[in-house]
This record gives sequence, C-alpha cells and structure tokens, in this order.
Amino acid sequence: MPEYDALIEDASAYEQVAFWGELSGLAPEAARDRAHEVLYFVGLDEARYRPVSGYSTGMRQRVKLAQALVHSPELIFLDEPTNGLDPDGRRRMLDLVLRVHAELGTGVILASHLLGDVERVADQLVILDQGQIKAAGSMAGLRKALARRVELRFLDPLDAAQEAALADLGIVLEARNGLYDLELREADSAGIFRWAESKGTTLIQVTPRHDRLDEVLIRALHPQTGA
Amino acid sequence: MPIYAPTLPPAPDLRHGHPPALVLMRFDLARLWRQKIGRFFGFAFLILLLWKVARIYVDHLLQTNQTFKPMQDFAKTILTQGADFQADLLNPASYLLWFLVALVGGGLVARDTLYRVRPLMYAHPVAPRDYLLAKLGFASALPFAILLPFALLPWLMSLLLAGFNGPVWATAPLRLLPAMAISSALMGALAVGASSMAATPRAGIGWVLGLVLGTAALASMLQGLTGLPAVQALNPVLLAETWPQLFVGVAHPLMGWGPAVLGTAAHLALWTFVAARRTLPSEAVI
Repeated sequence: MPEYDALIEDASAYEQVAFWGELSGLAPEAARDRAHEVLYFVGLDEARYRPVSGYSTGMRQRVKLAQALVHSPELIFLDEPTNGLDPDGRRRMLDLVLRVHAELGTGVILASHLLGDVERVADQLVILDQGQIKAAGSMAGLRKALARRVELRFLDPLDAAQEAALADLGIVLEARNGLYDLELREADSAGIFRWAESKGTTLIQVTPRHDRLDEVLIRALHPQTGA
Repeated sequence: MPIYAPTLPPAPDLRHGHPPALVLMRFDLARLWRQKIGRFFGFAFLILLLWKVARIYVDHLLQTNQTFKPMQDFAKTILTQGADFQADLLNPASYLLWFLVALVGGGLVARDTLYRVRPLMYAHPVAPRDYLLAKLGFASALPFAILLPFALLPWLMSLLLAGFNGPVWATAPLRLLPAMAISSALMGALAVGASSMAATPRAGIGWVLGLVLGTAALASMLQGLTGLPAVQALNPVLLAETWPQLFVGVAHPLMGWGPAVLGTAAHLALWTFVAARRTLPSEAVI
C-alpha cells in the first residue's frame, strides 16, 4: 500500500480491486467475488460502485488497503496508511490494521512518521535514518535500552555546588523539593551512584521515567544529544 | 459510519488467472468503453462502411441491369477499378482512423503514469514485457478491428451478389488482412511510444498527433529538398496507406516495397524501443 494515491481514478473501487485480483492470478469470476469480500472487510459498502475520483481521503486509503489484501498476502507493506485522515479516520484505519494482523494472520510492516500510530499497532520497531538502521527491537526492549530519563532523590538537599555538578551526569530537566528529573548522558545507572559517592551525598532513590516514543526515536537518531 | 465485514475468508487459488497481458488488455477495453468516445467514430465509420457496401451494390446494378447500361462507361471513368478499388477498401478516411488511434492510444500508457499505478503492477506478477505487450496489442488491435469490416463486408457482399466475378476479388482478404496487420501494428507502436513520453492522457494525444503530422511535414520538406520520393517512408500516414496498395499490386503505389519495408521497420523499432525504455520499472514514477 503506497503512501501516494495509486488509484485508477476513472474506475470504481470494485472494478480496480477485481483488476488487481486478476493480475495477482485469480480467475475473473473469483476476482470479482473476492473484490466484494475485501471491500466489505475494509468497510466500503455501496460506495464501491462509484468512481474512485469522488472518494474522500479515508475511503481512498481503504481502497488501497483492499488492493493490498485482495490476494491474501502473507506480508503487507503499509506506507503511511493514516496520511490525511482525521482522528476518527485514523482510529478506524489502525483498527483495521490490527484486525488484518489478528484475524487474517497477515504480517504487517507499517512505515509511519506518526509515532502515536506506531505505538498503538506495532510490537517490533525499526528506526531508519537515510537508509541506515539506527535501532531495532521490541517496543519495550528499545525503550529500556534507550531509557535515559531518571528521577533522583537524595537523603539531604544538595548544595549549590552539588546541584551544578549534576551537569556531569546529564541534563537537569526539572528540580523540585529535592527531586531531580534528569536525562542521563549515558544509560548507566551505576554511574549515578559513583557520582553521588564522589560528591559526598547519599542517593536514596533512582526512578526510571517512562520515555515517550519520540524521545526514544530522537535518542536513536542522535545518540550524543538529549531529547 | 462504515459497516465492516466480520472477517475475510482466504483468497481462492491464485493459479487460475489469465495471463497478465490479457488482463491488462481487457481492462483497457473496459476503460475505452467507459470513455464513450465511440459514438462519433462509430457513426462516422458506419457511414463510410455503408458507402463502400453501397458501391458494390451500385456496381452490381450497373453490370446486370440494362436500364443502367449507358452509365457503365461513365461510371468506370469516375470510380476506381481493379486493384485500386481493392486497396481503396482499406482507406476509411485515413486521418479519421489516425485521430481515433491518437485519442485512444495517447492515453494508454500516459493514464497509468498519471495515476502512478505502474509500480503497483510491477509489484504484482506483471513483467515490463507483459505491460508493453498488452499496450502494443491493444493499440494495434483497435485499428485492426475497425478495418476488419471494411475488408470483409464488401468482399462478402460482392461474393453474394456476383460470385467470383464481382468487383471485389475472391482472394482480396488474403491480401488485405496482412496489409491491415502491418498498418495496425505501425499505428499501435507509434501511439504507445508517444503515450509513454507523456505524463497525462491529453499530452499523449498531443504527442501522437504531433508525431504523425510532424513526420509527415518533415518527409514532405525532405522530399522537396532532395527530390527523392523514397523519403516519404518517414510519413506513417502514407506508410499505412501504402501497404494495401502493395499487397493488392496497384500499378502506381505511393512508394515501393523497399522504402515501405524500411520505413515501417524503422517506425516499429523506434517507437517500441521508446515505449520499452519509458515503461521500465525505474521509469515507472515521474
């Protein structure tokens, strides 16, 4: 399913899905039956007989998904399937993607810049930058591997010199009532304790913070800079 | 609010389909049907066909009815006879046929370029060779199908009215069908080549008409400069008109066998090459 509108504008959804079915090797009659089934599955009912040129963006995305599913592939590539959709349309499209995987057993590779979409449907993540794989793994595993945000609590309040020395560990995002929200320079929690010992203070709590997916992404793309 | 199906059954067997080229040609035919451009051309070609058939009947009347006996000699002087008459059967307003080929053929590849569906076709089991074969086949089959009744109906009428002594030779289809095939292939190749260079169907029509009229003008200029009639072999309109003349053996064809063979081969090779290059997977998206 390409990102751009690869639709035959002067044909109806039914005609073109049947056409793609035939090109995939279905007999003409089987392709026509299959077009009805797939279009019903993606939620295009009577509109399937109208030329595609009059369709809304959401309908066009559904026709493209139907084209991709017509021959029951084992794996489908969805390039930005929620492009141009309103929040409700996005939710419905992602529901469909989840159904495709859960009910049809089809593997789905979804390419998207909308991290909310990725977070909702993906269980494995590959972060690409200019054709290079920057990070890959399960969503939870990547979060853990790239987790840098921690909350620190000390036994006694830090003095000004100790607070300034926190910059050795990373960027102080927030400081309130003896709690310090930090983004570490390196994902090394043992280093925090060494730092506390060297500065003569007692660290009593290190709480890893839940990183947002965009923070994980930025860290994967730019390991040396903070989110 | 869309209504979704509870689930989707698995697809039927994928090994019972037709060859991709045939599927593509059928889809183009359905597309042509939707465009509804056949009414004008259908009417125009029907009138021309009726005129050809009516001439057979008039000829039969002149030959058999004593009332028209005085008109026979006069008719022979104004109406083409013999081999010229056979060749003329396949000349149903040459420019009208070229215009139809431009109108339909100009959009054949360009429409797929505009809608950006060629990469998807290549993602299915469609090879660039299948795609090219389908487009060339469709663009050539169209003029062939239009010319077919012009070759067969007058022949049938002549056989029914006068048997082997009719104005249309009994062997005429054997000569006219190969000529039609060559002329149609020439038209199809030129139309597909031109269409592959265009980004929209309208531009494709412009390309076909521009190439047909442009090469005709170029051929005329070169003939004027060099004085060689053989350079008219550059002109695809003249080439298409020449082939029936050569096959039926008219006394003074528009050009000889040599220039006709060379000119046709050059056009076929050039436009097929252009279309093949422009429909490669790397050229599939503008």
